[in-house]
Amino acid sequence: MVDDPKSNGGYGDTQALAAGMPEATVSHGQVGWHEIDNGQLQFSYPQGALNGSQNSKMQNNLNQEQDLFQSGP
Amino acid sequence: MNIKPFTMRITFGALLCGLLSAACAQEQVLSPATLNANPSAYKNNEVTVRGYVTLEPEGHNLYESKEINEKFRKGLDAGSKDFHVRDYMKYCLTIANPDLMYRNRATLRGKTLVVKGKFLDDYRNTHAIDLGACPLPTAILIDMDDFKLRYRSLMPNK
Repeated sequence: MVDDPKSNGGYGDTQALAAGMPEATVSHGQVGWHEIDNGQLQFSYPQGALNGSQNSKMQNNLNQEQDLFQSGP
Repeated sequence: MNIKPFTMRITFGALLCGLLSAACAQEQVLSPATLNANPSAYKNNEVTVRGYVTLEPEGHNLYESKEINEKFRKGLDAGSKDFHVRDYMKYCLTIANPDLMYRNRATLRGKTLVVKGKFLDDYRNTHAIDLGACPLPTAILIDMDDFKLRYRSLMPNK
């Protein structure tokens, strides 16, 4: 369920958000959602779908991906 | 008139380059960053690009170089506040037609290759989102016939 922004130049699974659409990720029958709220990227997922290290990785990915959604220099 | 051999070689070289200037221009090898710096100048032109091939489930692109790609990956993993993804956008060029390359992913990914194709200044469309595309909207539509000629040995799958 954790995305891979290293593969596509930094967007990971937030690519659709740039076009104004939320993005669902399905993994092992569970669904996580990338969304943007007031310019802030967020990922929501069912309880237990991510373990601790996956959660940390996802948070780091969101922090980095957010850079692509900032306006201005 | 006494013409020195060295001068003659230069003159002959210049003459040859002039005669073949169109071909020379076609073979000028560009980088993703060069194309991304001025997309309107290359829009719909046939270009030749050298890039580091990324073929992953979430990405199909030519990156500026293996070294810069590794720097990008390390920076992203480290999560430092001094690292900015935006600084690396210019190094990524989407491969618009990666199907055949995906079928030969095992032999192509991680290679630095020279490809020829049509440069697209805006690859996006209104009815689909390519989750494997680079942050910038640019892309190259690779001439697969040319690609097969260049890298036949890396293409075991049709």
